[in-house]
Amino acid sequence: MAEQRPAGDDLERALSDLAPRLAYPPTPDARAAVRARLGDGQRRGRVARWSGRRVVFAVAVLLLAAALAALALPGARAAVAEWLDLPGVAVRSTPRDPVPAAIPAGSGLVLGEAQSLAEARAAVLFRVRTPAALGAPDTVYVSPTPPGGLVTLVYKPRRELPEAAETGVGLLLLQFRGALLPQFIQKGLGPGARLTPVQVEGERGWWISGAPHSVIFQDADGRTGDDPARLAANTLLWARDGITYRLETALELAEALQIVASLR
Amino acid sequence: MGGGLRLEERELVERARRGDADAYGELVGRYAEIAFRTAYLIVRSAAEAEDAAQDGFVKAYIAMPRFRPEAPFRPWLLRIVANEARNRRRAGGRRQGLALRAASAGTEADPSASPEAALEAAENRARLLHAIEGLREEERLAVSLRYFLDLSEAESATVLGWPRGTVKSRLSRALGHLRERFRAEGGADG
Repeated sequence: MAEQRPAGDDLERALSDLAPRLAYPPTPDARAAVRARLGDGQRRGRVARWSGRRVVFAVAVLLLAAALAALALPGARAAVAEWLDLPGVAVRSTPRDPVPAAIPAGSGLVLGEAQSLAEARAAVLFRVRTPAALGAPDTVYVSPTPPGGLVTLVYKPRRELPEAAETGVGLLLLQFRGALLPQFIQKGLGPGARLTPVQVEGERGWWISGAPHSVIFQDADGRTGDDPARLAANTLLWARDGITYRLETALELAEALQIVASLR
Repeated sequence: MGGGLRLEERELVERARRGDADAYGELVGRYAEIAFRTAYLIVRSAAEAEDAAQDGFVKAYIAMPRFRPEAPFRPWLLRIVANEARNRRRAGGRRQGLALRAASAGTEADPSASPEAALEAAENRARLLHAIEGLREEERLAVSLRYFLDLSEAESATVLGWPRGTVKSRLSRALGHLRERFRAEGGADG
């Protein structure tokens, strides 16, 4: 083997020589499929029943209470009221540290019923939108109580959806016809929570972040209660075409908006 | 790749980061083949590789706000695809090996080679491919990404999630095993 070149060179040459001769399966058209998922339709895959921690929702209109102290701006109340001109949402100031009157757990709360997405679509009077970028939700809750219905899509934590410590889920999306709802949820913004106006789908919206904020509910009789199991993570709040949306996530605003952009 | 092409891709990436799904679609078109092949090398099933690449692209789109624009895009993307492929590999199912394209007249490197020499060369290639498929998984991946996909050591490290030193050592061990095997068989050098 005297005239052999070092085996390494020959081997590496042979490997490089092999590369263009490999018969890979034909490359599928990922562009069309991916584009469709980002802009339209559902990902194929199973809709898994989420048997994790139960999340309790107060039903109906979202009422955003902005702590004036947190805003720290003169004339903020009027400005906030104008900004928060969302159907079904009214602005109320709250004390710096909202301390609601205790009421019996479960009172005023309506647990939605877990249903399939198809059943949910049939049950409500508006067009339910889903974020194509996330695929099918893991659980869908429907509450028939507010006229027109309220739908909550629940996504379990996964790689691209870090678990929100407050709720134990990856992402929540609530939607309902806000203007018609008699009950409301009130959010108490304590110190540390930031309220940022943001454009969402060309509409005025709000991004609440910075600190877990408690979700206080108030029923039609004006009784308030605090759901101790219910703290909200970052929240994006907006309305479009008469439907109010509330997206809760541990993600940051830019990522939340990416997900919203895939709503169909 | 010229500077002009890189600039255009940076622009596409930036637009995709801002939610421009059409710009992202353009990127998907450019990377579809290498993404699919990366997934295929890992998971060895065309159907799973298709799903892994597609899911990888979608997840990368959502994660784009976290992508640092000064970093190279290709290994970042392929890492996400590779993770999808690895998850699917655990799921089991039919596994195929890589095949070689059938040699056709006129495509051989040396058109003046005799039919016997051409046949021997083809047989050697088949044996080499078979030997690669028989390597330990990490060594097979190191060789495949480096020589089949032409990824650099640094890129392979990112895509596979290994330290660079590990890529180097696995590659070196793989080549060592292949050399040994062919020495024992009487040489692959045609």
